[in-house]
Amino acid sequence: MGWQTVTTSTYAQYLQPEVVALVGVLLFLWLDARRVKGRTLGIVGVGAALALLASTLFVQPAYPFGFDALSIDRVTSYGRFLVALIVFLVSWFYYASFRDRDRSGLFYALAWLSIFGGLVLLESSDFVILLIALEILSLPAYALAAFFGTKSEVEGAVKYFLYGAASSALFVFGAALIASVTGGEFGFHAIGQQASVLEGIKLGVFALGFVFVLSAFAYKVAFFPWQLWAPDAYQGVDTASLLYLGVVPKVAGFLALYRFVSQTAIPEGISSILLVFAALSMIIANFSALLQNSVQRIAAYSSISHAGFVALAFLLEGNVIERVLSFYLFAYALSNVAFIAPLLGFASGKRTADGGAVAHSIVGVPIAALNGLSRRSPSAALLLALGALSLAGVPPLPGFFAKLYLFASLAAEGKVGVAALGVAMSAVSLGYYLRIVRRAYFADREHAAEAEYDQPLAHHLAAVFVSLALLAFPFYASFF
Amino acid sequence: MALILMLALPVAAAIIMGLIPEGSRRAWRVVAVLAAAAELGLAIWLLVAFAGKQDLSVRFEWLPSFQSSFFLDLDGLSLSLVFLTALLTLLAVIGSLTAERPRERLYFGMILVLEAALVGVFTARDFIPFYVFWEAVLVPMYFLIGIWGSENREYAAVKFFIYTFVGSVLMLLGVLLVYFSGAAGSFDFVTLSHAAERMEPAVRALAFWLIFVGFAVKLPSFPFHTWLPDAHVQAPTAASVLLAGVLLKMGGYGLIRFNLAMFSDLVAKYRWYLLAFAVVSIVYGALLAFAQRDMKRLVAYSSIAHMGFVTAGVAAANPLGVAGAAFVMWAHGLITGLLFFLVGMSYERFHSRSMDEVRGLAVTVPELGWGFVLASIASLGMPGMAGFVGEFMSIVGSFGAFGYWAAAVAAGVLLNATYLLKLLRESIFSPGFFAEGEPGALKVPERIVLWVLIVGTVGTGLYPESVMYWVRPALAALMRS
Repeated sequence: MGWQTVTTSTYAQYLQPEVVALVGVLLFLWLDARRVKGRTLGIVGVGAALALLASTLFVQPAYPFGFDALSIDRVTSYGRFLVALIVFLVSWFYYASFRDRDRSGLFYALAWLSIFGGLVLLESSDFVILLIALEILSLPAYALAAFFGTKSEVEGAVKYFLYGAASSALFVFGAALIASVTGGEFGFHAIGQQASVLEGIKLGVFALGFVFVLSAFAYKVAFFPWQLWAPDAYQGVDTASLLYLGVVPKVAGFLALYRFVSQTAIPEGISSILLVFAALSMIIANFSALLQNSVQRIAAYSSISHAGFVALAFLLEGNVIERVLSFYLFAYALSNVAFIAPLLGFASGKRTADGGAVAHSIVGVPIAALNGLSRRSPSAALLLALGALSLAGVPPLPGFFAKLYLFASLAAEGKVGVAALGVAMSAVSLGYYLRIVRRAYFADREHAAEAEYDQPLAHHLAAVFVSLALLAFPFYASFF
Repeated sequence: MALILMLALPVAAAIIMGLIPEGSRRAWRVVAVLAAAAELGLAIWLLVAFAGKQDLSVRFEWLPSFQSSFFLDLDGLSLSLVFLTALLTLLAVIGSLTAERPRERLYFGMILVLEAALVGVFTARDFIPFYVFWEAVLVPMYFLIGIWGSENREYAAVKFFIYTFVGSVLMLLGVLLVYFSGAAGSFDFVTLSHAAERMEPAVRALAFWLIFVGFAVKLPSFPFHTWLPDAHVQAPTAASVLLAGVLLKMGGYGLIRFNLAMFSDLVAKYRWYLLAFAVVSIVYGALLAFAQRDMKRLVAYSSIAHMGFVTAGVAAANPLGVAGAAFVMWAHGLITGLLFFLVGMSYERFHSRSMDEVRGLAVTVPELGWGFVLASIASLGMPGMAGFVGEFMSIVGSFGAFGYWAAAVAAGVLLNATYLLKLLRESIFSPGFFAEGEPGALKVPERIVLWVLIVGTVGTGLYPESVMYWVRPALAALMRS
């Protein structure tokens, strides 16, 4: 690891995506102050996302860079790209789905502030920076969750907020415990060096601190036993917010966790706890999802079970973790966008004509509303079906390859039992994913509840684009 | 590159169909028929090229993280099944022209995508693409059953999907075991079969059985057959034809290419167990078929019995038995395809599949009635028809390996006769028919389907070498390795 003298120009050179994100925040705040709404705002949103994507593509450091608090390496570059890609897709769907009067500069500004937090999270290698990044990521996210102010949304947002606040507290406590035995160090490198010589009670304190920090991440990514907030929050918040909240914080969270784990070291014994919790995540989530009647709740349980799958990657050894993780997170993020984005079309029914609050009885999109979706909107139904099948792990979609890579890597290291459990859980998950597909394609429109589906042309195009990206995966699979 | 073209053509046609605007039923149909016909043309071209010893293999570097390449190749066994796929898909498309159905664009699109996936399964020579195609087959079939099936279609579609998905996953685990514990280094079939030789005996046996169960679900063999009656009966005619005609062959193909070629000593060791699977499938399938009143269910259960002959031939593991297995796959594809078409045609006229309601076909719709007669005697193994050749070879092969125990396999032929003759007695040659209005004579597309399959059945039955010429060298090569 080469250590650099940091100068202003180095910042400009290596932190361009962060700069773009901050400029984005200011831009959207300014637009909000000017009361710019409607189409213009949507287009600016897509443009800003493209700028972010470009900044991650063209600014790749040729070597690891860092000082105590930040490190920019392969994981950072990859994570930035992935986050920017998702932000681009999400912005496209936002452009397509908000009715003009509902669009607000403030919403975008909050989202971009959160994106900025996510980007910083990807390069944090120090507890203090990590905590700040986590808060910048999360605080706007709580506001986004409650943005449209319906009763159900506020309920979901409050749950999300309370659990999130508890998670921060756990994180701080864990970090303090770790620092207490590693000579007051907050940097991961230093902690890693100190940890290797710990023994006795100090090692125990270190391990305990580690568990607390892991718990904080587990909250963020909805991992057993800290997953309870997810179903209510997913069901409550507006689909537009969910599209962002359901994907970006998770991707950034997992990659940040990987940095933490790889630069320090998992204490002995934690792996087996992780294994048990990953197994419970998958088992509980998959069986609970079978019983749900709202698409958002299914999405929530699906994300819990995938958190379990991703956690299995951390049981691998060495370099393989990084590759499996990158691959899996890509597949998961893309498929999850595909799974949630089609629900945006139902959102218009949620808001009343004056753009304000609505019938609070509508909670989530009931599965029955999907009936006959393939006739009302072929592209949205296709996207939903591909997302569901990819999450289930059906080839030739990315979810299949990601799971295959994960399970094969586990089997290669002799963890055949874990791999078999994962495979079995994938089979169970088919039960609820196929239910979604079945509703969209097999059920007749006549059985549909009174659910309007609204799909402007741009949404249609975005749906086709993401569908193609999913279907064409075998052609660019060799990238991974 | 011809193989890539075989894969791309149906998919491209499906995409083109997607671009043709809503409501142009005629244009969709033209595209579908042309694409399926072109695919059959390509298959014939492959036959010629293969006979001319051209190198048809295609290989791309594909997934570096899996050490897998996109590797396609042909041997005689693959060729026979690719040909069968192309033929039956074309007939399925033509046979679908007589009735109008909702969402025809999606319907034909799904059939074509299914065709591409099947061609992929039979030509892949690397396990990862093989598995991708294998699973990709499920998706269009799931939609075909679920959207255009009869009353209980949703249940049947989901059961089909989950059951066969789980089976495939077991097969995947088995192959992963081979890959890792044999330190294969790549998923190429040849490398895998070398790796299989290096495995620990206990792990090897586990891998063998996992892979066997994966294929036995698809075949299907007792006790993994319960998805089949639901799926076959609920599926629309074209899907039943493809399901019985081609999808079941994936199981037999896998047994030969994986279990037999990679674990020949274990096939020999466990041959009595395999024989038991075969015999129970044959006898139990035939008895179940005999118990049915629904013609489509009867044909569905008969497939279980016929596929038992494939397992028996593989269990015998001698050249005659395996050749019999391969021939049964070909013959069953034609004959059961024919039977499902016939049941579909009679359903369109009488709106019933019950033998209590469809009666006296020999008088009401003579062409249909005599079609049933030909198909039935072909299916029960009348010499001179394709059904006889494969089952006879399979039985003789079994005698070589199991001695007089093979009589149990032979008994299957008798049992097959019972339910097929019952079908003829009850529905074809029975008195007391009644029909609302005049059941129409066969339409042109129906005639085409009927005659092509009858000519194929009789032709390859009288001259089995027309199939064996291609298949025999491939089987010999597989059994040597």
